[in-house]
Amino acid sequence: MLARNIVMKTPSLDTEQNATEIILESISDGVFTVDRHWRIMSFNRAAEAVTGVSREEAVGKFCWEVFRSNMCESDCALKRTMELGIPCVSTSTHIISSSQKKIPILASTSLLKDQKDAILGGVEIFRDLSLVEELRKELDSRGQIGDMVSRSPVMQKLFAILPQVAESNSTVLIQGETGTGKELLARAIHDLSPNKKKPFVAVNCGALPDSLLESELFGYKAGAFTNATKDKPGLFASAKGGTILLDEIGDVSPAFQVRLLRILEEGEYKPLGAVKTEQANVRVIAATNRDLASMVQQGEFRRDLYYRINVIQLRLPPLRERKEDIPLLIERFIARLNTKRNRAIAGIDRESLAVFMGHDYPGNIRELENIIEHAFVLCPNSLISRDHLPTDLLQEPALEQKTGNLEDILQRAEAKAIQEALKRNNYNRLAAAGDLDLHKSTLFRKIKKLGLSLPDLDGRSDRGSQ
Amino acid sequence: MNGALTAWGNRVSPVFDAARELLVFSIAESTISRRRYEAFQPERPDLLAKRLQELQVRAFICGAITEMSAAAIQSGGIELIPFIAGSLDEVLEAYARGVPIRQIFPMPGCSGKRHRHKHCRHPGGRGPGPRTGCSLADGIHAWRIQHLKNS
Repeated sequence: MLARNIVMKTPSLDTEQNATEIILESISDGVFTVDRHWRIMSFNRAAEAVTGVSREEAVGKFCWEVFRSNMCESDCALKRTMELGIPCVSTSTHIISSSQKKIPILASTSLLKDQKDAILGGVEIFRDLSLVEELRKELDSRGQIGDMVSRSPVMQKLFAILPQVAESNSTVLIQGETGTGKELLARAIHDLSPNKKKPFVAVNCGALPDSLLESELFGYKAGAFTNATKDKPGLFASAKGGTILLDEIGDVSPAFQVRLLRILEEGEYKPLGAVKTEQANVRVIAATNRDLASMVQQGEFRRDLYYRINVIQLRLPPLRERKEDIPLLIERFIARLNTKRNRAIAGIDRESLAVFMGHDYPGNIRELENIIEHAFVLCPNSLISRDHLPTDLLQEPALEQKTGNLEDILQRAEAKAIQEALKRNNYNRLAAAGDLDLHKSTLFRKIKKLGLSLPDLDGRSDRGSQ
Repeated sequence: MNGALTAWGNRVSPVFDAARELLVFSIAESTISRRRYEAFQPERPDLLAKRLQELQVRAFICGAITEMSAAAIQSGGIELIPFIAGSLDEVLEAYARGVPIRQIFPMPGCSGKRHRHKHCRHPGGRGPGPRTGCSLADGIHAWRIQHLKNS
């Protein structure tokens, strides 16, 4: 970009002046000049295109009425240049076009001088960054499937296989902690499937007693029980041709597991009070936050049903294992709330981001979303800061001490990493050492040196009890 | 009738999203009978809409404004007159007289002369102030004469 002061030629140098005009008209950057009273003197073609203001309308007007940047009133780069005599290079800002669109731009300013070095005014050169912004969004959207966004390698692997999973009609088992987005994943599979125009129905199996779950899923015929005055189709019938999500399948009673097994094996079911069976023309996706394999081991879940639903297993990692997604998720939640509540929150400050990154999120993405909503309500301006975060989030031990010398800070970080590794590995020291790429004796030494207190449970006790 | 306007010194603030000061005015008998300033946060157009409702403001005049902020203000049932440029006194005086300020004080690029941006144009084509029953040309002419007399 042009950063040096612009020198105006005298009228006698017509040829050179014409050449300058041709150059200014040809470049893709918007250029305008102002006199010392902020009136626009010249306005090139690119400036017309970016602002949506014609030259004939712009010339002679105050620059702020034409340029309409958010920095015009308080932090005008051109004003700084005119007052201090120094150019401002590559200031990032936005302008508002005549069609009410916010256009991101990069602006540079310099003084406008004549051949005798007398200041005539200023020149502003700006570049429309809309395309760059679109490309950035395009890159961001590569980590997006349906309503799910992620940059984490684990999730990227999951996203990569999702189209094939969706294409097949196989039963899918989604496992993941509460709040990790199991229903969103199920919906994404449905939306990518050939049956995407058919219904998607989700039912929480753990929330209903057997009798109610049966009538919800399979429906009933008139007269099947008292008050059943007319036929009611079940969710399997409602989802016909589409997808049904059986959420919290790990909470289904053993008796009901038998009924589900029959549907999955035979592809048919019988509504309550019906004589004839009906075809279950629906794709089944099951989801749970429980470890079904160990439930099978302990006899709490039917082995045959487990194998029937576990054709394709997808595991959603907890948020603490993909913390790189936190900024992206925050941005997304803020954008969603801005639209929903007519707000214009720009984001969160760096200090708050540190708090967000330091938290473990037992409630996963749902918890993060709730924290953002809390901050959103309390934030009176455009940037969320620590003051707007829930108190319990700020009282976490890792955040109590933020200052100290480098040695202290490193020790606290080391202690935190070790504690997390131990927790991840159910306090099995050997596994935690492997996780941290340390020798076990080094880990023991560090635990002792840092004075970490650990529970009696050491991860090996599980093996002993089995 | 009450109205409000985003102010920047003695001019209409060029960008709503960067404005900080609100000028609330009342009109009685085609003149500005009362005016007072108050601070506001453009980042919270939802709160501004509520505040304008409290103040029984019927019309809101401002400079350039984004779609989202415009929608927030209009959702409160307030008439929005955006993309206005000029001196506060002149704009207010004209508005109070029922002169269509959209035609007299449009921001460059919003006059409809060359580029007809749908957002820039005022749906009614007239100012929302007290109606005089005259044509657009009459209104402008009358206002100019009055303005010349005053100055």
